[in-house]
Amino acid sequence: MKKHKNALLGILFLTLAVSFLSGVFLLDEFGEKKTVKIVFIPKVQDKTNDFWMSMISGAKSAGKEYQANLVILAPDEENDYETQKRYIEEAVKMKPDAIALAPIRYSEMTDCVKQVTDAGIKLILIDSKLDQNLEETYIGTDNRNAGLQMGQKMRDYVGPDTKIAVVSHVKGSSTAIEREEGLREGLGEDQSKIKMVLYSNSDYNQAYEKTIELMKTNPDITLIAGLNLYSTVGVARAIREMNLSKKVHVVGFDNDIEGIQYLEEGIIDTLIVQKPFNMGYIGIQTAVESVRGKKPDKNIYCDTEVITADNIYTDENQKLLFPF
Amino acid sequence: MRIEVRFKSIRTNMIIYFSLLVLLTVTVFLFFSIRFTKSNLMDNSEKNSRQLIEQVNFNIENYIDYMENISQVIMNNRDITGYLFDDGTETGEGLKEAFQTILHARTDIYNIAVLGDNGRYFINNGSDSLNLRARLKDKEWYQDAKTAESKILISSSHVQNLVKNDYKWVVTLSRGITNPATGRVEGLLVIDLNYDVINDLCESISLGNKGYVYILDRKGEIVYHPQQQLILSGVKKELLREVSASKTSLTHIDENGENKIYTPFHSQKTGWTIVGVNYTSELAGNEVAMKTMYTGAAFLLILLACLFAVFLSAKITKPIKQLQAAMKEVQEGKFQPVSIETAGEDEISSLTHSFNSMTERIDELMKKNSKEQAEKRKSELKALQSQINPHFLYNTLDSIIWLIETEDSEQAINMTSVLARFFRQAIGNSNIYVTVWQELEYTRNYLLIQQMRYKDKVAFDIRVDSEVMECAIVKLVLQPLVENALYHGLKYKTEQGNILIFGYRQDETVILKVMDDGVGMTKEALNCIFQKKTDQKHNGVGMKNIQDRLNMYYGPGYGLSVDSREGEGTTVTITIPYRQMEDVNEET
Repeated sequence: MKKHKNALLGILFLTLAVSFLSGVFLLDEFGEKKTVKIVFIPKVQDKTNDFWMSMISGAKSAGKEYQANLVILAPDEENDYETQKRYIEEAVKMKPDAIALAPIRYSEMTDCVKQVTDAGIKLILIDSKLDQNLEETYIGTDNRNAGLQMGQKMRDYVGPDTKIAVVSHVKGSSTAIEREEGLREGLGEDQSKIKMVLYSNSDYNQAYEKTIELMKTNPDITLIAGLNLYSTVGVARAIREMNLSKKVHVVGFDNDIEGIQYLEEGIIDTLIVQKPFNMGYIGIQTAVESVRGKKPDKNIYCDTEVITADNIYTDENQKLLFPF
Repeated sequence: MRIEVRFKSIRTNMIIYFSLLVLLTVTVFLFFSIRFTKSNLMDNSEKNSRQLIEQVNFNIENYIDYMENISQVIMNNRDITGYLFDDGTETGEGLKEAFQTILHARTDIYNIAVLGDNGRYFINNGSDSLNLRARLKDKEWYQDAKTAESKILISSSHVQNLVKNDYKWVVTLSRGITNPATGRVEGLLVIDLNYDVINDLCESISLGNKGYVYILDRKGEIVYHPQQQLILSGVKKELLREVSASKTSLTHIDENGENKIYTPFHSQKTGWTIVGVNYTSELAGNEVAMKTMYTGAAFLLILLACLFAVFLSAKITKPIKQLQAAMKEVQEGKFQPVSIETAGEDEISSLTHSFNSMTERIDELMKKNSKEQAEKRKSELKALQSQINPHFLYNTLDSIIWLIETEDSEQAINMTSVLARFFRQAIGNSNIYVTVWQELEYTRNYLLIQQMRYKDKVAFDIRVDSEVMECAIVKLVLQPLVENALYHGLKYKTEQGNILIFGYRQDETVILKVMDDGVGMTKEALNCIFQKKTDQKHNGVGMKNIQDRLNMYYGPGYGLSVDSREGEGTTVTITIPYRQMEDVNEET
């Protein structure tokens, strides 16, 4: 009985000591967060592709800041969706907390992506969506809003006799539909001036050839909108070659060095530019926060910037247009 | 209900207070140790990051120095003014050679260019042409360079689009060129340093895992920041003007609630502010290990102290407990076993020692006292037992006189001889013990005398087994009982009374019974029979006296028992151990 009492007292004191000390000194350690493991699968990693390099460096920046264990698996070519599917399977085997994916195809890889959510891994979609709603959240450009920005800007170039042509990219793709809808809304009543919509199928040459053909058959067109980089650059090449830059206004989407040169030269009047660095950063940031239990919004949009020849070299824009 | 915890034992108290004391001490010590070590860690890492930043600054200034040297070399080249301001006679071959040499030697220099206000220019090897759409006059760096006249100016980081089809991130050194003919600044020397140099310098610095370096120009605008795009597009916030104005380190909590330390370094040469950013949580990287170690050590200490308290308290309180147990026994009256072992010379030991000698002394005194008491009792009893009722003697002598007067000389002689025998037995023997036979004879003589006095009023019979005749019995036990029977039982009876004495052995005891058929006793009288010490009325020996003597000599379990019924008679039973005279003689 006595012995038990002593043992009990001892235990009582130890418990007291342990709880007291941990209470005082380990309080801030409770906030210590565990390392989150994330696999990021962009569409491509290619030093010449500024858009994706910028997104990847944004992702890395967030990875460093949030001390995430970030693995990047990227195909060498932007259309290689088979490789991307293989990377998705590989990523699932690595058992990360979250996978951030920029799917190359809208519907062909949905089944493959299902493995991610089936394995209980959080799926974050960046830049592009899938035909099924599998993701925790989507981070990308609000294409409709970007189209709206473009449409509103285009009204600067609309006169009474203006006739508009739209060179879209892939017919039926979500971005093409949303951007065109936004563009028409931005134009308002001037949308009646749209005479035709062409599709470049994301190919410089098709865009170029279709523009040459268009200008030959419809020489009264004075405003052309390119809905992605391929369409825009293709159109600009054609206009430059046909020496129509004085007569035809070109507005476009996305940027590369060629596009910016056309902007400086005055062939392209306006570019709507996305913010891939921010997308990559916010994508990984959201993934980390989501793993740590913060419920993200269903869609997180990164805004777009309207670039004209006058504001290329502002502090903000030169960093956006010329990543290093 | 109020719960009141009261710790009763000294040991529990000791454990509790000792443990609390240790806990408090260790906790306070731990608290200050951690704080001190933490501030030390902070100081060290601040010093460390300051050193790193100074290193970055040193490297950058080195580059700038070098560029200035180059600019000086170029400015000294007379071909420049000749090429820019003379009327096209200079082909630029001299310039080409000078520029080539530098560009070959330094890959970190992108462009070297001289631009004249008159539109003449020479870029790198001369084959690069000026980007006609560059709109140089809109560029901040160009405007600054123009207003600075002939001074050397370092620009912030920017995209250089001076050269056609070339867009590079650079830091530009510019310097006005004076036309010797007019004495006015009419041209500009431009040297572009590859921005990668600064980028790599800053990225190669590691301030923990998350910490980073950024650079601001004299206007507080970003020259380099790893998250420049996020900051410029408003996704993130960064300390800009505050840091470039501050000379000392700043702490700041960012939008994620992270505590950061900003250490700025202001470069005189470039006018830039190089800022190192540390996360306090990372400085605490070591802190976690340090805390874990300290806290672990503290746990161990407390554990040891608690164990120590348990053992120490046991050691201290053990003799106290022994003493306590011993005192309890003393309190209950047992002096005998109280003797505690003492070791050492501490207070408790000396206390125990004193206690031991005290109990010994008390025990001694007690023994002495009880021995004296017993002696006193014995002598008292001795006096008592030799006491013979004087009335008995007077009455007997009266009877003898009366017999002589009536000339019944035979009876007188008889009575006198019986009386003589009776007295011889009563006085002559000084022993405590006599044989049952002797005691019976004595009693018989007494009874004979009484019979002679009262004629036929008393009849008696003695039936004792011969087996017990030689047994020892305390003297003067039977006769007083018989006397009592006569005076209390038979005296008040009108017809003849009988007294019967039985004696036999029962196992290891001897039973003697004195029975009479007198008036008997009431229950109340029976109950208080052992209370009176002497029979006041008859000056005889009381029942209590006999009982006390029997108890004293034979111990408990032996003695008298009385059975009586009113009107029928009384039986007194003596129980004594079965012992021969030889066994008891030495006891006297």
